[in-house]
Amino acid sequence: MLNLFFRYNPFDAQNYQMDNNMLKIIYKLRAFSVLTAIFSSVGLSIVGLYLQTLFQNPLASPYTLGISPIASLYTSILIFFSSSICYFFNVNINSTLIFFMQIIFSLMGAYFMLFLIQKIIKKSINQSLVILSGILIGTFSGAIQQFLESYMSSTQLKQNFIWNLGSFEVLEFYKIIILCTSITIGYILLFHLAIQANKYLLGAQYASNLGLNVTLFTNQIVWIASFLVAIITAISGPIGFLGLMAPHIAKMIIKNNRHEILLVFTSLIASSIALICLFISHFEVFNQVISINIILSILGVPFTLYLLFRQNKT
Amino acid sequence: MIQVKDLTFEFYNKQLFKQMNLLFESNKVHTIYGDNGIGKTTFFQLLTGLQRNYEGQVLIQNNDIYMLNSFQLSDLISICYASQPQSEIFVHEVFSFSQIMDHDRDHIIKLFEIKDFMNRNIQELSEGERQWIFIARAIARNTPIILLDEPTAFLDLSKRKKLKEIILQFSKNHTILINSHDEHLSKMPNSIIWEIDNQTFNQKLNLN
Repeated sequence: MLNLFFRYNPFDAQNYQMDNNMLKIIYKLRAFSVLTAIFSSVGLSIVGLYLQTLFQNPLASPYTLGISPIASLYTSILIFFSSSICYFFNVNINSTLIFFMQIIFSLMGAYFMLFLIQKIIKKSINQSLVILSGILIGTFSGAIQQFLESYMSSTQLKQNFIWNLGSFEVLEFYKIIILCTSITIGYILLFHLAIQANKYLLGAQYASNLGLNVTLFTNQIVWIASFLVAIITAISGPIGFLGLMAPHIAKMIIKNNRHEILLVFTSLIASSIALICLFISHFEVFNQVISINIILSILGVPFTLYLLFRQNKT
Repeated sequence: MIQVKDLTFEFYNKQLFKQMNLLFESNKVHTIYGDNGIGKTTFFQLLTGLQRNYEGQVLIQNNDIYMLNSFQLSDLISICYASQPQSEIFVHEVFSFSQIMDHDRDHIIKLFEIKDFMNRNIQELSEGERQWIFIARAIARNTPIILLDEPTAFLDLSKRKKLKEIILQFSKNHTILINSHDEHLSKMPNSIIWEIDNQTFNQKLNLN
């Protein structure tokens, strides 16, 4: 078992010819990726939970509403133009600056998308239309991304490709710090909104009769959601289906819709799913590290189909 | 007590109320009749603070609702809308999310005979059962004013009868406003009948 998880087996050091220093680095990297996995999955799943409440749709999630795809499109645009700027103006932009630009760009993308969805909701009450338009916009952004890719240099292309597959392997410590603090802040804010979210489950009209300021609540959720999704997308790429699956599994298991309780259970389940995916991605059978998105999609698509059919039965 | 002074309200370029002056007395049942689209539900939305761009004054228990914040208003007024939410929540959560006191809730559960429903999901219920639950919720909130929008639309005959009894019982210390097309509800003692006509409310004589 240990042999499968740690591709560089510490007990088999002779084969890999490693010294103590290298082992330390590898353990550090493992700890980093575990931390990233836990925090990104928690962030995505709690955003998914609140988006499902906000849009009163079981299929709402950062991925199906097109927030992650648009954020990743904005990041691709950044990758595309940053090296062109470097090339034309002959300046060197360091990677830290690019990372912060990435956060800003994906924040812009995420907020733009949520703003668009709010506009769509005002136009039409049909809930499946909202999801459909989210998926369509996701496809649209994918097409533009591929258009950009056809003009990219091979290094850019690889950078963009790997980033788009989603990965929890993070090398820099400051990224972990940013991720952890922002997810913690988001978690606390969402926990404060839990009672209001409970009221919102009764529908916007009933919630406002219970003293909830619906516009303020919606804006708060939209801001927090886009902030968290943007940070996670900038650090570990567009990760699909986790935000959709985890809240549903939590609701199925605990059979309770109190957001205070759901929040805790959703994040527990999401982080365990992410860790399992991380575990699978390091199987030696594959001979290389498999991307998280591939594993999540293989697990997530059948689950989403199951949800769709279960919904249509009633 | 609800007092309306010089209320003028336009909704989607349609004049609904014009220079309306009204007084809904306390501890009575007020049944409001009127054709579709004449502004019954909109009047309820106006009272619950969902529509705010009106002219004139609306006073609930001598408080101008324009001056109250949403929490103060929600302590004064509770409503059951004509259509109910379809989200996947349990019936007992409908009560707990509405922040209803336990003893109020237990009393209402006994009165409405909904003990067996408490652990069911509201998505599984029929339209009538769901309406019954949300009427119970509105009354359980125990606010001085209770608004019921088309409460009998999906209810069967025995439930309509029971609702009438419950409304009568609660009208002793609550002001209850009902929007309805149901002739049954008008035949209640202690009730005042209103008809919306010519952009204002007209009081009709009680047939009893």
